[in-house]
Amino acid sequence: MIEPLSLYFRLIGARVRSQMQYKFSFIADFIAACVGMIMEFVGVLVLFTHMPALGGWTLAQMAFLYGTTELAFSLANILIEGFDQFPEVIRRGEFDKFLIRPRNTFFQILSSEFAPRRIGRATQAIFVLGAGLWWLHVSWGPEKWLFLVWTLLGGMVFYAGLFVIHGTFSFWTIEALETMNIFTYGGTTMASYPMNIFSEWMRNIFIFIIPLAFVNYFPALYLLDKPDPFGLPGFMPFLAFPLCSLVLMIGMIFWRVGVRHYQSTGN
Amino acid sequence: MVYLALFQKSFQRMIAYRGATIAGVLTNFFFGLLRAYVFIAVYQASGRAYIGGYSLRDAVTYTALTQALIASINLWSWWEVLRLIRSGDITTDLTKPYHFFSSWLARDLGRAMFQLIFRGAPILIFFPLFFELTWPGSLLHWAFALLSILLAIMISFTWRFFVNLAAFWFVDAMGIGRFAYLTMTFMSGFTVPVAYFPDWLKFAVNLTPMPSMVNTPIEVYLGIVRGTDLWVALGVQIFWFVLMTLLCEFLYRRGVQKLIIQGG
Repeated sequence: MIEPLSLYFRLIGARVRSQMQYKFSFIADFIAACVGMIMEFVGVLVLFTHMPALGGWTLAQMAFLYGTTELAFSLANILIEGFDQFPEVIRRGEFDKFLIRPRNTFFQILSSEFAPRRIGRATQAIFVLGAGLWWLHVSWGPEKWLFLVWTLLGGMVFYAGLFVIHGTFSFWTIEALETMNIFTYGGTTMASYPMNIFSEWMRNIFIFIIPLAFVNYFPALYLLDKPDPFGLPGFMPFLAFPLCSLVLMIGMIFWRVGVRHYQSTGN
Repeated sequence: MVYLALFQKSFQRMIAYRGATIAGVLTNFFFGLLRAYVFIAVYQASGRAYIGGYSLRDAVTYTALTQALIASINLWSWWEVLRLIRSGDITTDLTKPYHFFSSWLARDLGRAMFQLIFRGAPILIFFPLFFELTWPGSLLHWAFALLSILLAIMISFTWRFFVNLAAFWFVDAMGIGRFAYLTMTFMSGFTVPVAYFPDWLKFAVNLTPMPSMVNTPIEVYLGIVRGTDLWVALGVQIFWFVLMTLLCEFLYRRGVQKLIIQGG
């Protein structure tokens, strides 16, 4: 367990050092992501100049929803960059070199990339989440703070799983990959709004088939003491982490299937 | 004519990406539904029939239209000229007997036309399965809407071209470009209609070419701008296209003058 971990940090350390050679580039990307992505929330602010609450959620509560999903998403994005870049590896026919190295391929792809340039997106998420918690005047005991961390980890694992699935699909198709954006980018956009504003069929897909509602919606109901409008059992928030991990596990299994299916393009 | 040929080739090239086109339509469609439900909730919560001159049906049509236009207006990624400058391949273009800006405009219009038909139209055709939409009342109204969309695509091209030219001066032009594209998304009225903005913000963005790229064609389509306002809106679009084109041409010439390519 220790050996792969130290290897992981050495490889990632090398990636970070190499990317830090381009300092201005890093700063430019940081500002671009930080200021650019927060525009999404500025849009929500504009909407709130015309109404007191959205689907029963105040602006502060909306900031909480937005901050949690965006933070989980961007952290996953930073860690899982290798799978995000993976279609390019396949397209160039470079996957063969991973197959002949003495480590499992999942580990290799995971440690092949790291994206500090995406830190900007995480920063704006932390900012909005912080503002939300500030406005909400939360007075939580330690168990709720722990639950918040637990929730963020769950969300990160959930999105990481989706990115792995996204990358794995490139064993079969490169062209149609964009459809997966519905679940990744579409997922985090949807999760920044309360689930009850969506129509029933859409909601049911994202509660029961893809457990997106467990990334932040159900946990937020518990953390912010809001009643569940769907009348689902009270233990729903506590299913969040197990269900989110399940998504990553499915992703890893799918990856194995993909690798077995792989046929080199040759050169 | 060479520009017409470039237009055609660029249109035809897109036909090769059938899978990507279908995937793109599905993704844009999904986001359209998602955003439509948000607007429905906004109108419910506000208790008003009109916000900024938009009825609920207009707002839902706005989500469908913005999603339908994403691909052709190409809000988020276009790096072709940047790559040419960065790799030095731009030298081959310098030797070719055409006007650089116009050649890329022709190519971009070919691409945009394809995407207007094959990525835009399907969204408008299938959206009524979920929601009622507002439609232009007459053929003339359709013609004005299409004209405004065409102008929007052309202005968006000049903007993207302008951003790409940064590569002449900055090694990290891509970061600058990402920033430019993301702020444009909001300021053009793509995220939320400009009519929803508070007055000071509305005033500020109306001093830029941004609303002409998304907001104007949509308001023309919805009939929110009509009569004299319609002519003013189209006039403003033409003004921005001309001004941005001149700016691009000027910067391009400056860039080429200082360009040094290491031969090989």
